[in-house]
Parts: sequence; C-alpha cells; structure tokens
Amino acid sequence: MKKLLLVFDGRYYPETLLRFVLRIREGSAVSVRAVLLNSTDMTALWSFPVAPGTGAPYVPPIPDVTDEAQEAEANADRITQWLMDNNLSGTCIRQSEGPVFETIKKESRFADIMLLCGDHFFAHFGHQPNDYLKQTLHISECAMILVPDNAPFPERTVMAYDGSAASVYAIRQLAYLLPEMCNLPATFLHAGEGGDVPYAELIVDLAERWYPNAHWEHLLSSKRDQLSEHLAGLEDGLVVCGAFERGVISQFFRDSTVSRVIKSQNVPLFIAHH
Amino acid sequence: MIKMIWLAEPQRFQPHQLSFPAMMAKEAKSHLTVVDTSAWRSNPVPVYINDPVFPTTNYTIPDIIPPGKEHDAESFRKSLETTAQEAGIEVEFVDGSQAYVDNLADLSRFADLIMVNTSLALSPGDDHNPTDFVMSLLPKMQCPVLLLPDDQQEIKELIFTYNGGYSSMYSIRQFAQLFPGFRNLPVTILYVEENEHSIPYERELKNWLAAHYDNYSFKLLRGEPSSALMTELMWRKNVLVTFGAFGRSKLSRFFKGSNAEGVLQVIDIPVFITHP
Repeated sequence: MKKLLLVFDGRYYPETLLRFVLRIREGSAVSVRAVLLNSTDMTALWSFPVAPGTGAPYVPPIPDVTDEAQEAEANADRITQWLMDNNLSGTCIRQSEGPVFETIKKESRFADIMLLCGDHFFAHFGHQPNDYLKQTLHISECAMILVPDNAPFPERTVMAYDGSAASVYAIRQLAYLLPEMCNLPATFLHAGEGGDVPYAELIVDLAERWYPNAHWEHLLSSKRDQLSEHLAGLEDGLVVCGAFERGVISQFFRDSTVSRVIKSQNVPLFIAHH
Repeated sequence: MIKMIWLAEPQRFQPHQLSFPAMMAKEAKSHLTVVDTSAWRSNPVPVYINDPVFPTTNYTIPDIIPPGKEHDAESFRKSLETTAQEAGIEVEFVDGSQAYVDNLADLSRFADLIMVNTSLALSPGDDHNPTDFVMSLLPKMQCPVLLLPDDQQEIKELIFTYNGGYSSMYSIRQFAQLFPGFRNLPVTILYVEENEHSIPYERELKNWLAAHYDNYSFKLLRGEPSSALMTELMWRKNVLVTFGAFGRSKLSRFFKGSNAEGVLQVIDIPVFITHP
C-alpha cells in the first residue's frame, strides 16, 4: 500500500489532487494523509530575506485569521468526508500553527509520494513557481507529483534523461512507486551536445526492464529553449525529472527548464531526488 | 523488472551460496545478473622483512584461494546454471573485466540492488570480515547494497534500525519498495536511546509502517548506538537488518561518527545498506 501525502494551503480545497488520488488508487492500494498547512506562516520569513518573487523587503500579507481558520476547518471536514465516501483509509490534519517547511520535511520523510497543487500552492506568495513551492520541492524527502489544475491523468510518460544519478534515480522511483504507469508509452528524452546518449547501453537495459513501451527522442542542447515548450505541450503526459535546485543539477534539465514547465501549468511533473 | 547484481567469486563458489541471492531474486520477481569477479583479483605480492638479527627474508601472503583452484569460467557457469535451475531462477552472466570494477559506481546507478558476500576479497591479505574491498564498495554505490554472510539463512524477521533521521527512513522505504513481498514478515524497529527518551516521530512512523507491514513492533536499546546494536544483533540469525547510511566517507552518519565497521564485523546476518 502506498502512502500518499497531500500538502496544501489550508484555505484551498485540493479538488485536482483528490481526483489524482482516485486514479492512482485504480492501480494500487493507497492510504492518504492530507495536511492542511498554515497559510500565514511567519517563520518562513527566515527562509526568504526578501519578498518572494520580488526584490523588496518582505512584508507578509495578514489575511483575516478568523476567516482562514473557518475555511481550513471546513476544508478539513470536506476531505474527511471525501475519504469516507470513497472508502479510503487515511487521515486529514490541520497544521494551523508552526513552521510550514518543518512540517513538510517531517511529513514527507514518512510518505511514499507527495502530491502538490502546482497552481494553488501558497498562491498568495506569487506566481508559480513561487519561493514557497521551490523551497518545498527542495526540502522534500520523498517523491513528488506536482499537479496543475485540470490536468488530465497521464496517458504517457516523458523521462528527462541526461545520464546523471539524479535523472536515473527519478526514473527508477517512478517504476517502484507507480508500477502501473510503466506500461504507458514512455519517451526517454535526452538532451545534449552531439548525438551520444550517456551510458546508452545501461539506460536502454533499464528502460527495457521497466518500460516496455519506451522510445527515444534526442534534443540538441542548442535548442534548449524549445525543451520547456516541448514538455509543456504534453498535456496528457507526466514529465519525470530528477533534481530541483540540488547541488547536482542535471546538466540540461536544470532549474530554469523545470521552472518553465511549472509556469506553463498544464503538465504534471514527477520529481524525485535524494 | 528489478536489476539485481550478485558479485560472485568463482574460485570459492559453493552451490549453497546461490540460495540466498536466488531467494531474493525470486522474491523480487527478477532474474539474477551474476558478475564473475575473477579478473579483479590481484596476484600475491611478495613481502620483504628487514630484521636486524635475522637475514633479510621474503615471503608471500598465502592466497585465500586454495592451490589448484584456478579459475575455470566454464565450469563455474555450468555449476551456477544447474543450481539456478534447481532454485527456479534465471541467471545472466557478466564477465567482470577490470574496466567493470573501475566503473562499478557508475554501473550501480542503473541497478536496483547489488549483493555481495562479506568475504569477497580481491587480494590475498584482505582477510577481514567484511573485507576491505567490500567496505570500500559501500560508500561508492549508487544503489542499495545487500551484504551476505557466508552461511545461508532463511529470513524470518526484518529489523529496521531507526534514528528518526532521513537516512534511516530512506533505507527503510527503499527496502519496502524493492521487496513489497516481505510485508507479512514480523518487523522490529530498533531505536537506540541516547539523549531522547522517546522514539522521534513515532506516530508518523507507525502510520507509514501500517501502510506497508502487517506486524511490527518497537524495541528500544540504551547506550552508545554502535555498541548497543552490536550487542543486540551479534547473536541473531534468520533476520535481515537495514542500515540507514553508510555515508559517503568511511564513517557512518547513522552512528553519528562512531565506527559502523565494528557493527558489520560482528554480525552474521544479511545487511541492507543504502544512503541518500
């Protein structure tokens, strides 16, 4: 049984994530832990010396705390009811106090996959990927799926491969965690100078073991700008990539590309790093 | 399908040595990639002693491979194939060249598990347990490593060492991902109390365990972590233990700077080690 973790700003009802949970359950048994986070976490000030997304000193908006508490309470009740209606084992907790990032780090340590809403994750802190989302992707200790609003459930996968340990780790993690997706058409997308795929024999062997419907595409790194457009255009796809702002950032699939895919808000991303 | 690699030592191969790798391969519904490590061995090197009393002498450290047991790849393969057939698994052979061992770290990136006997030695003087070669492998590998004792044991229980940190949980999760079929085995979580007198994140851990294992319990040990684990594990048999991190250096992060090698030296059970 997979333990799925849903984390979101308590003021938001994660319709898209719940839809994804039901589709994942069709492939394998799941238990759900929904964590409604404190949307006015002042301790995050320490993480961002300036206002997220701007160069200005940080002045946090102070939403009406009473409203937030009521909204979060109502959302927690709805999710608990949704779990029961769908006969899902799981819990829904409100983290109305305390640091957001500490909570995410702790919760993700004890989860198999974390689902995040790509559009609404602390949306009041700026356009996506805002600093809250980037920090969350960075500190998370389990694999993540970033789901944009209204994204259809993936009918195919795209593996961003550059030969790095991070990209191979993510490809393996998808196979372990969502084996039902292994049978979907899988595009192994390599980007780099020249035509040589690093460790070609080994990655082909790995692909054959896990992804029977794999095929290869090669993109010249001189056309780097086209990559994010290419990935963002895959509306029924799931883009699998290995690192997000880690020390070992893949040579080509680096932050800017991932960020652009997130910004495009129409393709789910599976991110796994260690 | 999981890629499971076993680093085999043909000169000392006994058919019973295959039983544990074969069992794990069956459990993971995988076939077994067997790497012949013969080419990795170094020749015995003469050692010279300059003694002020006795004349200079030289001698050679005796090889652990018995005389007359020269490498015969063909008979090794035949023997292994027969044993594998009896065990009901498929094996794939890889001739391990020197280039293979040089690139083992890169190769491990594309594998799911590497299994190695703790006695695998590449040089005559390497008679520690685990050998220096095996210890040198651990920090370099980019996939989990399963250390195998020389005697074969049926696994009846799982022990997860846990310290509340990311690396111990990472290892537990990796094990569960690779071997979901073990969910019916009893699981013991070993936690060593040092400063804290309660298990960190106990509720969250129980929540995760409940999703993956049917029968789990906690055992709290007291004292210095490596000593406490040594005492707990040194007499155990028929269990498999997971360790969170061997670390990128020789010192384990799991043991907070104490010597992890000590624990590995005294225990005689399969050990699953990985690091984030």
